[in-house]
Amino acid sequence: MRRLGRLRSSASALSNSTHPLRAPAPAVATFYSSQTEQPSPHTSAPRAWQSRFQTTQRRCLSSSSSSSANNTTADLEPTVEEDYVEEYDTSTESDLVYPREVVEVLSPEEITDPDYVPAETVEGLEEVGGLADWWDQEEHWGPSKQYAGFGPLEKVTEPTVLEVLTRRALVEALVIKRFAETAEKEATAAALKAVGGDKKGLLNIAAVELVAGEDGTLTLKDEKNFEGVWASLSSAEADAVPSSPPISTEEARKLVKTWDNEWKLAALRDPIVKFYVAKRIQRLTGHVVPDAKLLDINTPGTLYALLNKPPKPKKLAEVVQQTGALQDLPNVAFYPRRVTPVDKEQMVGRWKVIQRELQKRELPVTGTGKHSKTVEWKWAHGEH
Amino acid sequence: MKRLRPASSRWTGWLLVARPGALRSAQQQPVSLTLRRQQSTSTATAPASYNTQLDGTDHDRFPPLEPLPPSATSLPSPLPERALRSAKLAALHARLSLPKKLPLQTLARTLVDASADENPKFNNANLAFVGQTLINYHIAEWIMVRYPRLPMAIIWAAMLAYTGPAPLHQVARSWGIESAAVPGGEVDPGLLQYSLEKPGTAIRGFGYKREELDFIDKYKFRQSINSGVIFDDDYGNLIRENAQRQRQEEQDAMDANYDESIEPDHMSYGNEATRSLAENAHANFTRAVVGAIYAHCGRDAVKAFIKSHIMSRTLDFSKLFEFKNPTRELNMLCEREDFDPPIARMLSETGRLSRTPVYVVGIFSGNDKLGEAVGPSLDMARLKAAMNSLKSWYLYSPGGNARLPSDMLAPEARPWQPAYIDIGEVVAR
Repeated sequence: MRRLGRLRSSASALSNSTHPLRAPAPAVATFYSSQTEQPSPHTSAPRAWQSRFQTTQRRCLSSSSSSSANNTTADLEPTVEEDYVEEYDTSTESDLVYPREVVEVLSPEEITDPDYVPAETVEGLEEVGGLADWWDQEEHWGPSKQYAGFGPLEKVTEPTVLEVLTRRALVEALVIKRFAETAEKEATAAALKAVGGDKKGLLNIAAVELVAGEDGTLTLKDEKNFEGVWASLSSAEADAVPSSPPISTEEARKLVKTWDNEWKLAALRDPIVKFYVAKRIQRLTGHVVPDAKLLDINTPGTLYALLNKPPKPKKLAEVVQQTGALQDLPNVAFYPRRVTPVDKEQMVGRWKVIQRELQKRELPVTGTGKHSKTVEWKWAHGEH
Repeated sequence: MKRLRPASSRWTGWLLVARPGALRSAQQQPVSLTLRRQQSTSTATAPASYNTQLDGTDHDRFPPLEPLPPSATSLPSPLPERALRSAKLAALHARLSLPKKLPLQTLARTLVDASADENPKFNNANLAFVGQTLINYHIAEWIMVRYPRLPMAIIWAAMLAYTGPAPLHQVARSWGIESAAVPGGEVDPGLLQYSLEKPGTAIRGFGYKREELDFIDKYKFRQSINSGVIFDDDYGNLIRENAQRQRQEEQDAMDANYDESIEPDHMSYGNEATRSLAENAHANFTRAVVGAIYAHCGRDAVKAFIKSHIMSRTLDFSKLFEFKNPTRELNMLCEREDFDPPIARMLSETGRLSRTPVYVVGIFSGNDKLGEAVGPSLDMARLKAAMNSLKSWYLYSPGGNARLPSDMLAPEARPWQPAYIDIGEVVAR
């Protein structure tokens, strides 16, 4: 894309070629240009190859500019060569950690230390350097290259904490909906992205009373609270998402006990409020509410039920244990782990015989013991 | 057959020796089939009680699937309480439609052969003895009432074909019994456990050891049918020795014949002796199940069980016969019954001069035709016709609904009308 953009005119290509910070052309570019700059060929085969190649170029150009598409091939060639060259600014600041400069050690003749004894074999020498896995190591990538999600990396799963945060998200969504049309775009964006890391702010917002309005929809009980919450939201500074919610499980449980159930039963109809809630929920708890699910969310209760689901079991055995499906069947054996061949032999009583006979022959009972791999493998790896 | 008596309650006194705790645990858990099974949760909580001896496995990575007592492998048979957690056992219980009164612990005990566990409180020897007696009684009275004219030798053969080790082995196999490779305390209690290395205790039926036994072997004394009825076992076989001594002799014979050069693998694939051991173990299990049903559910249940599992097997009685002089025997029969002497008449023939002539010969007594047969020669057709006549005499049956003596044990049974039983055999062998 970028390359085609810069091919728009020969004038811009010319200016690029005279750029003071231009780096030497990469090998690929050289190859590319040498092929295209080839003088008129004497054999038919290169001509065919070349013409096909140039056709491709022309097609690319025609999509970007109709005026240059009609140019001859000869006119285009220098343009392509000059323009392909990548440019980069060496002065760019980067937080990548680069390998150090190459250090040349002294040759044995130059060493003046009388205690120095040159090694005769490679064994026992310390191995230094090597760049093969340099970029595979995490610490060589600066913090700017780390992934930063919109929500916390770990979802909030504690039910009471989740309830407090859901209530907070609902209050904030209602407030943002109230002010989004009149306020500046930046303020709305800042409100949606506010992380609200401190506990005091959370308690203040969670303490705002939510009720069902006259038409049954969810709203704030006190009109004054709209202003107060908006003020704290729109003035929030951009900050990293905290890894854990600022409230403990015990505190959340106490807080939830003070609420009645009314706010969970109020109607939640406005799709814009639902979108705002979904956005705030993702920012605060890490749960992504799919748009398709928003249609089914009609009350805060259904929203909370959607979020508050037990974690997905990792093993099939856990699923069976949770559902209790097979527990009542006496003719079904249910094991929490894989039934290994050893288990099967034990069930029929053969394992003790196998074990006894192997031990009698001084063979390993499980695994291969010292009888591993082939002997050639050892020879090849210098073992004896 | 006079020794065959209906199962009475006085047997249970010494035959059904129960373990001290068996009844208590059965009472505590009367609905053992509906118990929730908890091995999955208990595995995580009780690692200390596991068999922690060095068995070469990684117990951290693979915690034992089932909590076993320490040194479970040294026990001869699984502990009775493990029966409640065995899926195989519960499946067997359901597959046989056994009554819920019969607890899983007892069913587990029927699967432990005497060769696996010598302790009679834990093996199935006593239950198998009760079962054998019940099976033999019910089959014997049924055969006798159904075919009242059978010769004794045929009754013995039929008894063997219904209640011997081979048919009972087949019954156990048809129930889907799997056997453990080696018995032990860690084995699944739903597997039949018997040892191929030692024969175990043989069950003895009723019968007496004959005083002239040594002479019978030495001089090939002939034994009469009547003496066999009195002395021998239910199949007319001589009672040889007590089981202990017989077993010892068998073991000695095996040791004497043991050849070092033969690979030990030879044994593991099975031979005549191991097949016989397996057959007896399966048969004893079937008998023990019958005994267990009798012990827990009573007479009617056990009769119904025997009827549906053993009596229902098909046996062609006409194939059991073997005649030496059928015409002579038929002659004697007619004489005994005051019939006119039998006369063979050719009914039709074809191809007398061809390579394959066919004669149809009928045997008549006066105006009654006793039987007819087809043969390639006149003599053969006459012999076969005589055999058919004898078979039609011997295989007389009053019908399948004839009342049995054991039917009288049912409450409010109708008054007994004596069953028809023939006076005896035509030719004493």
